[in-house]
Amino acid sequence: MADDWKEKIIQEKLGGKRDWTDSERAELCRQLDQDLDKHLDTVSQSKFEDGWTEENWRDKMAEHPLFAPYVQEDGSAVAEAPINPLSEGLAQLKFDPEHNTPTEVAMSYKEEGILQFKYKKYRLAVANFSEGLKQVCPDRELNAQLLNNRAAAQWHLENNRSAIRDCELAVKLKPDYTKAIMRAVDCAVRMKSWDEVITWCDRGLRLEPGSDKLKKTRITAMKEKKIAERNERKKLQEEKKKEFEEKNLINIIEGRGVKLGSAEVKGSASVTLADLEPCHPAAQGSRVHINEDGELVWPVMLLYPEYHETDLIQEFTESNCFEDHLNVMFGEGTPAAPWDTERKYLPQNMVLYFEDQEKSKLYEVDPKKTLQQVLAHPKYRVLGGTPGFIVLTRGSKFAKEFLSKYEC
Amino acid sequence: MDQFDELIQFLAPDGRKDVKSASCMTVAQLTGTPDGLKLLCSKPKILTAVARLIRDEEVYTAKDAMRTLVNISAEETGAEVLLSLKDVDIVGEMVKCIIDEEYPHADFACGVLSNISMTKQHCQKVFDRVNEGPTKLEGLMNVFCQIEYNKKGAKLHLLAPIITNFSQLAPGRKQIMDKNSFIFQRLLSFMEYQPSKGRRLSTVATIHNCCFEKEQHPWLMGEEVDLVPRLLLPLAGPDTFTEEENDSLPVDLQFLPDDKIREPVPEIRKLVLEALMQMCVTREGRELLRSQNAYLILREHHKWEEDRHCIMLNEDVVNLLLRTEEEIGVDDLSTVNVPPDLADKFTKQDEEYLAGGSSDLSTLQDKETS
Repeated sequence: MADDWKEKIIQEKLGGKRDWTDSERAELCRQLDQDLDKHLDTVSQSKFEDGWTEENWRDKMAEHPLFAPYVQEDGSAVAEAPINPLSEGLAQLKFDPEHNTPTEVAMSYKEEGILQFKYKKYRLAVANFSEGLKQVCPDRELNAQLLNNRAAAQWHLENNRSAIRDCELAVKLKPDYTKAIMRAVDCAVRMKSWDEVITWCDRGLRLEPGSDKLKKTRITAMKEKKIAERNERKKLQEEKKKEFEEKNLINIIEGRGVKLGSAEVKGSASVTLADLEPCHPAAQGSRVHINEDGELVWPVMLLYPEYHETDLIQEFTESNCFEDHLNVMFGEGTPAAPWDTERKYLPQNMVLYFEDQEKSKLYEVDPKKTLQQVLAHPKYRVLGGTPGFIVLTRGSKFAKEFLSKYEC
Repeated sequence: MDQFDELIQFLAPDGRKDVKSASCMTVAQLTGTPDGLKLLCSKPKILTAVARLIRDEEVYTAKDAMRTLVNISAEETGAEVLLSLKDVDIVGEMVKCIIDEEYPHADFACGVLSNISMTKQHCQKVFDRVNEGPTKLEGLMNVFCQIEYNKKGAKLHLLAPIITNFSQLAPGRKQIMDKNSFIFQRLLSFMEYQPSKGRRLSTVATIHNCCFEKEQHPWLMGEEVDLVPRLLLPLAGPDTFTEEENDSLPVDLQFLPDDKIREPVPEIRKLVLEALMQMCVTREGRELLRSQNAYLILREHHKWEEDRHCIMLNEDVVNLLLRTEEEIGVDDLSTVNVPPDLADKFTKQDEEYLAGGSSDLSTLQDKETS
């Protein structure tokens, strides 16, 4: 339709010329706009008089071809209605079950559906084919066509599952319905449901042995299926491997005598992976793991309450002692931390503590001890997957005040 | 003679129900003894009467009739008699029973067909008659490939030996390997069908037989069938390979799960290995097996295998795969003429090996190079 109109305009305005220049195109647009404005002006001047009023709408409606047969209040037969022949004809021709057999009605819906389909109104097409099927007419062929057509409309709406269902029903009514089988193949391919593709191809090949399209699709589907199955197996294997490694990690941690407590529920009975997931944002991604030598590597948090500062040691191998790390971080030749304005935090001045579970008592940590030894301390609990230690400077005023809050 | 005529009257389809079912049971019981079998084989009229009862509305009568036919067909003479019945087309009737989704005794029908197609001469006859009917071999295979085809609980596993019997005939193989219907490809999935050993065995046997068609090798090994990975799969156990090794295998064989089992039946493994050997007859086949790293699967299978015959077959294949084509020197091994005295010697060596005597690998290798 749109194309017809376009042709007409091209004929009228441009004498059928096709290779317009940009300025010609602009000129045409301008002219068309002008024409439209002119038309609107003339229209708005004349008053609309043919509208239905409250008084006459019943009569008008009864005359209108669209509604005529359906507004008979007194239930009189449609044929008796005093209406124009056009509406009568239309109604009878189409959808009235009183004047048509179910097969005829279904046929009308089929035609209407096909019309809508041609205009790419797929939803309306589906609705019409469905109405046709509702007639439950005895014509198997027609019902099969309605189903196949509905499947085609569903295909355009990408309702692949519904389309396949309709194809299935269509083939049940008409076992040699190759068209429906082909459509089901296409839908299944679109869903990447390879087993279904293969089944439908086989059904099709029984009707059309050697069909090139079916053969090719089947071969591709087989390959895709194998790849999909392989990927599934691979994924499963990787999951199993990960599970095994995590179990192993937990076994090692428990073997070391390390006690875990989740941040919320203190001292939970068994170790779970969730307990090992670092809570601190900086430690995320450096969860405790096993290195090549079979040693645990922890993220370790140092807290400096005096300045409300923290440091995160992302990889603290359990066989290293605290001194090693403190020397690297605070030893000679390293610049002081920005907050350590007085340069008090030197390895020889620093004292490390850890809190017990109830936060009531502090235990001093010997910096010459390894992390493994400290974590095995009966009172030590790893919270939030990240061992934490409080760092103070020996003999400072703040340290005294801080320590006085704990029972010693 | 009167007795038998009377019996035939009792067996008439429109006869009295109780008499009919009692008579049918009597006949069925007769098949339980060698003498009874012999007697019935000499009375084709009784057999005809029985064959007319296989769809009797009384389900036990129909079952007794079917049982009788199965037992009769189990003997070669019985098969002969059944095939030559004039008034009943036993093959056509059995096919009809098999393709009928609602027929409860379809498994017996499979049994009869499989029995009467056992010997080569009968097989040809049965094959021809199946193909004369509307169903044809393809129809039977179609039914076979649909799990739970029969709605009355018949498993139809016994269709597999029928197909295997037909695969011994050249025209049978041709039909089984029809390139347009993909029926052969559908058959492949039953090589790993765990619920039924019989189904697996017969399927593998059919494929094994088909592998002897050398002209079909390019098709069998090409993308349309891709048979080699399928032959290796029953020999493959749970994955023990590195990622690189996995990548060198065909996708079917990559990352096999921990619960993957090798084919538990030695007889089936033997057929699979023999089929692989057939694939190695041509240079193209050997090169394909090498490119798919079949050796990896065979190596692991060899470690696991305990059956001497299978070990020997495995080594035969591996020997060919590990050698270069220059060393083998012949593209098509089936063209090699082995002098009769040497052939005897090799057969003897194989037998000795299987008997557990000499397991000297060097003598086995001689077999290949000669």
